[in-house]
Amino acid sequence: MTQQAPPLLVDVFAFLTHWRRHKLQFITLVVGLASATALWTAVQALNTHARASYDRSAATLQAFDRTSLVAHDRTPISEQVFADLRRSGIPVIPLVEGRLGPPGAGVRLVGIDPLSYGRLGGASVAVPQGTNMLAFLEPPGLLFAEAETAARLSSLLETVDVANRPVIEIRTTLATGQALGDIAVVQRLLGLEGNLSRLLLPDEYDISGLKLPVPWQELLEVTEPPVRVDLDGLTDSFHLNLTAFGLLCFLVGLFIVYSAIGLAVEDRLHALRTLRICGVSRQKLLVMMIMEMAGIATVAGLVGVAGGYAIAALLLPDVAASLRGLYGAQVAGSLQLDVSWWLGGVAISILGALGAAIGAFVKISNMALLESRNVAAWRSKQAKTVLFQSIFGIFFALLALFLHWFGSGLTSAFVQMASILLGAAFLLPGLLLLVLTVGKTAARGPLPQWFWADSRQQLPGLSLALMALLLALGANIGVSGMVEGFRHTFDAFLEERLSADLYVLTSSNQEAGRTIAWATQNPDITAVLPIWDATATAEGRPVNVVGFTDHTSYRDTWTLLENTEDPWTDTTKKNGVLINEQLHYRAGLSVGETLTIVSETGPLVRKVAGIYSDYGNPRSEVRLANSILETYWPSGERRRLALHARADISEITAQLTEEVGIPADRTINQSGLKAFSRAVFEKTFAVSAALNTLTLGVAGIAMITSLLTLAGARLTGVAPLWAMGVRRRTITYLEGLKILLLALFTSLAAIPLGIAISWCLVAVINVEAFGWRLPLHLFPDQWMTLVILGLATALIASLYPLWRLWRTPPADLSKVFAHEH
Amino acid sequence: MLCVKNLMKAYASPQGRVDVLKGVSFDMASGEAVAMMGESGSGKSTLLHVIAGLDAIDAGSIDIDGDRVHALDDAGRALLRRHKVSLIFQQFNLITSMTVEENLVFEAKLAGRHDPDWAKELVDRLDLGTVLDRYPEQLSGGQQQRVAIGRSFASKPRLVLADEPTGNLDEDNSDTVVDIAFDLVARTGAGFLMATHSRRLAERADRLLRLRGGVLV
Amino acid sequence: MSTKILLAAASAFLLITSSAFAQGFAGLGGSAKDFATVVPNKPIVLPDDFAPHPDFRIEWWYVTANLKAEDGTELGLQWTLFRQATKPGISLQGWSSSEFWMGHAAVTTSTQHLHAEKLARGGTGQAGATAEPTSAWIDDWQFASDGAEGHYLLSAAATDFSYALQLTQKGPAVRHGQNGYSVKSDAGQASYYFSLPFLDVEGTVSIGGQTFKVAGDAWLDREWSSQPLADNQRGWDWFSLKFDTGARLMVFGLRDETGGVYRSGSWITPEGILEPLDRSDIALTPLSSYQIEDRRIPTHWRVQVRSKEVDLEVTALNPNSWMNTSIPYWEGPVATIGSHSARGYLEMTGY
Repeated sequence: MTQQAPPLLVDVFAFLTHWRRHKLQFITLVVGLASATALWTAVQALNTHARASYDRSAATLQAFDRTSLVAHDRTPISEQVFADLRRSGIPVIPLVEGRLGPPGAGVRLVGIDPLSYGRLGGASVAVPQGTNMLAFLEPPGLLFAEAETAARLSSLLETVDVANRPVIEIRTTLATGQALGDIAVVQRLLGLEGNLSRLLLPDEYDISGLKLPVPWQELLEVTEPPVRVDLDGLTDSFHLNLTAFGLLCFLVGLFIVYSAIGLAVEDRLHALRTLRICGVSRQKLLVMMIMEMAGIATVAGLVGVAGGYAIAALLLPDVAASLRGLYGAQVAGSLQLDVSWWLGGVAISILGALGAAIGAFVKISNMALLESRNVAAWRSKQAKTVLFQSIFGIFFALLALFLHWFGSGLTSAFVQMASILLGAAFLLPGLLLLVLTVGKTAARGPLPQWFWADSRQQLPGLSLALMALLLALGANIGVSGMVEGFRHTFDAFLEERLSADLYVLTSSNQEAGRTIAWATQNPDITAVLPIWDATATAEGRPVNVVGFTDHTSYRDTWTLLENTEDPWTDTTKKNGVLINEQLHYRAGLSVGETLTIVSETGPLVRKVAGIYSDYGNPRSEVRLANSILETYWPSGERRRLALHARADISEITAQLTEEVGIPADRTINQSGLKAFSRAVFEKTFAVSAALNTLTLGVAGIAMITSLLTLAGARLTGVAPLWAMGVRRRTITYLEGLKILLLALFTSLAAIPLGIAISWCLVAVINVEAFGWRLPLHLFPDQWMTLVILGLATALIASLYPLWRLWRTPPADLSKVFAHEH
Repeated sequence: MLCVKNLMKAYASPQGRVDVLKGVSFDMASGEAVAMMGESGSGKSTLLHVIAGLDAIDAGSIDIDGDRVHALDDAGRALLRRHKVSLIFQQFNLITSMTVEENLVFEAKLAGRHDPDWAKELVDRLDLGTVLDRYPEQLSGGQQQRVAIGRSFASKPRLVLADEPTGNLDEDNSDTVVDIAFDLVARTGAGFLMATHSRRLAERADRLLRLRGGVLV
Repeated sequence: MSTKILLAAASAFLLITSSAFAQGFAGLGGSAKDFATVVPNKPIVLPDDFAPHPDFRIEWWYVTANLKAEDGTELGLQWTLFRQATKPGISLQGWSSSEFWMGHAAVTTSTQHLHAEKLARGGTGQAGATAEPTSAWIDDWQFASDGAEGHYLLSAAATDFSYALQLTQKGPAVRHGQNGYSVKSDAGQASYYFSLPFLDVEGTVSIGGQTFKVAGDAWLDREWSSQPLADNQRGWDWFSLKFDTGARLMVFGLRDETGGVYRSGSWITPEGILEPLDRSDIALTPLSSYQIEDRRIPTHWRVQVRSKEVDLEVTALNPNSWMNTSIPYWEGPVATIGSHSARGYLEMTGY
């Protein structure tokens, strides 16, 4: 070997010409990497975006969430209070707030007086840097909002005449759904001229020395800012769910890449050997391979990020709606593309590609220079591969089992689910091999026998695609099962919990009192049940405290998960409490145990009388008698009422508006509430559904690529049959049948996998993430649908390869046997 | 049994139309072993392929025991290959996913003419008794070709076409394979048309055809 | 953090004055279009003119006092209320008004200078002034008549100091310039300007938790205008001096870009007769400067009024009397040696 090594560019060119001939492989590689990156990027984008929104929310809230002075009945206060308090030396900061526009499409306006912050800090948080103060203060004034809110605001302000219409300026530091302006501007827009919503007290102000001037003493009271639940912690589980999906999609995508690379390598071995023989060193070859892979991955990564952004943008409205409905978190509705996304996407694409290609690199590094005419000993190779795969599979299955018994926490739960998935995937080839061997043994007649035998021989080439299909279907069945089960349970739950006919939210405790009085007099109303709220901490975590009055509607309709003999009497008469499932899991409290609740007036110790399921509530909750609430939480909210009525609900609602002055939008009837709650859940699971479909799509791509890459080798397999007098048409049918059969077995195997996933989701992950457990429901018709879906995917994936086979000219088939091979 | 008249066959190639067969005519009787020689590219394979119905001709006629091959459609030609004509190639004859035994009876079963006794005889004659449950990849080249022959004759075809069956084998194996083939021809009365490079082998046949420039000379 | 607030508040007030830096100190040289102009021969009416003048752009109520504590410690004290409007006319109610108020309070000893600032919007009642009863306030700072004629209460409170004083008027109000028409530049910019320079003071001052009983005298300035400065005037040095003889002197020099100084002043007899002083009569010579951050401020002056044979060296009690407010300036108590013995206040802006 004394040939001169050819100059670098010639090497590289020769190296890269492979793709020119095998454009399909190239496309496969890029598509695989791109889809993996796209799905991963989409999920990351959604998560990051949501978290940024929470941060903005938190920041904005901090500026206004301070100890405040409010009217006893929370009605607006006359402006005069400001001068009076200021002149008596109390450095209050005036605030006007309210909602502009209809619920759901409105904007929360906050009006401040920047001068009132003086030297005490806060103004710079409230009023963004670089503001033109004169424009802010002088009519018509400025309103600050972030981009999406600004758009909403713009349309809401159209009815205001131009001279009085404030100019909207975009400030990214504001939370979604909020707009900030001068107090005079906001007063005008909200129709609160001459009034204030509340007065903030500066952080440093010592309330203990507070002495309100005389007329105001009677009218005002001090409120502490509400306990702000950390949105990040609360929504963690939701985001973790998304991330898990993203990871799953990424892995499936990598499967494609792995198989594409593997097959490309097989094709290229000859060319690569030639290069080595011509003097390209091993290192150089390796470097070229790595650079090539990195280059392709970069291109794919860029495509992937763009795709990921598009997917995230499509999914964002649903995600935002779920987060809003579940947690009250406001998430801005439009995404901004960030440079870091591009970089991150490309990075992960490169890492994924290189990781998937390691095996190939090792193989090429070590390949013998002289090609031996060793026909692949497929059987022993297959046996060895399947053995390894099965060992892996068993390992993962055992890991899942181990984690189930000994693991705890959300991460362990997810690893458990991943182990189930991976275990199933790795056990699949062995299972299919078994089925095919049985099939062959049972087959009678040459063609059937050939059918099974050949399927078995094809299995390694299709393994990865089938594993991807299994995972996609299993995840689909698992999640769909959970969602459907949830829907059923939730419907029953709503029926139970929302047993009253009408729910009223009054604007103040006084109004509630008047409403109760009115309702008691009204013969059509059979029961008025006040529902009182407060917040507290128990066992070191924030809990909602809900007060209720004993009534048959509770006793009859509520099913408790666990309870004492007479939990209702225990709670209303004997100082017991009911806790929700979430608190039960999080604090490890069971019936009969005691818990300490820190109330406004001090701690109370209570025994748990019952545990109730509380689907969809991310918070822990304690229910006790209204009388207790009144005593221990004197400043608790006593505004909610549940009414049971004999008459038509719309009549009652009308009466409420006319006689008590409660507008219709403060009442909600049972069906309205149920519809609303359902809608929230639909949204939440719409996201999962979308990701599921995408995963299935990715699996389909895996199938297509495997089939196409195998297509070349198929000819040598089917040519003998053709020579022996089996028609091309028959051969094509058999090929198609083979794929469908493999897909069928895989799909059927996906059913128990799906059930296992479902179980893992409802019994392990849901509990860890949300604190409540769902019963496991099975839906055979869902399985059927998904099996058909799996078959359809396989069929669609195989259409092109089969068509090509059908149309293979005889010359190509003859060539197989040709001398010059 | 076989009657070929004036076969014309051309292929389209990047360089334009290539006439491969330019009027080939010959006859063959049952039980006859015929060898065909010619340069590479002279059309030996093509001739065998069109006789077997693997490809269509442009002009002329092929008659096998009354079946007008040139007039058959694709289905008909497939049936022809199933029942009447059997092919042996230089390589990739066997179904790699099935055992030797299964390969041997495959063609016969396809034709519906599986004869267990005849199969057993073939196994003995071909000396494949020890490798029946092995897979083709585990056999030597010579063994593989013997299986191919066995499979061909097991279906009792009227005509066996062999395209360079010994092309990948050494001299000894080649002789063995061809000997067996001729022997089976004599026993079954099938016609045997073999394309070959080897003069030595060709001279052992009953007749020698030479193909040059697309015609028999 | 404090710099940010400072900038925010500064931008607030600076931009409120709606003019770029080019228009005189603190924008006071900015255009006065739409607002009423200061014209001569418009008599000042008391107590009416104590109240705000909405047709004019800017005005202030300014009290400075020189006090002595029981233990002999010398103190200076300042109480100022500014009003600035962006539009002439009666201010709208509530926060829609186009008026802005600013209050400054300070207590100065030889070792300490404490000050505070308050900001308010007009129209809410948070700050304001009335003529009857005489009153000016912002938050809980106030200068107000206690009911009796010539008796006032002055109070202010901040985190590190507070004071509550009773003021007694011991002499008449005086009108500067020509009957209150006080010219500030050759181009004719002027303001209406009167003072109550004869006020006796008694009360308490608290510094850092410690309370002192104090006594002394004070001087109230009341001035309003729409464009008190020419747009090329950078700042001024203003002196108010109370002589031991009972006379009073007010002199100021308005510095412009070219280096020229427009000097003017008033000589007030112990009986309260005011004589306007001609510029040629007045000499103001800075003697030495004090470095405060990156500024050099003359805290040592020579003040001469030839016609009154006044030749004084004026020294600041505390050269560090820098008001670090939205619009910063120097204001502090001073004492004199030379031809007369006097105490008073010095204000320097535009450095």
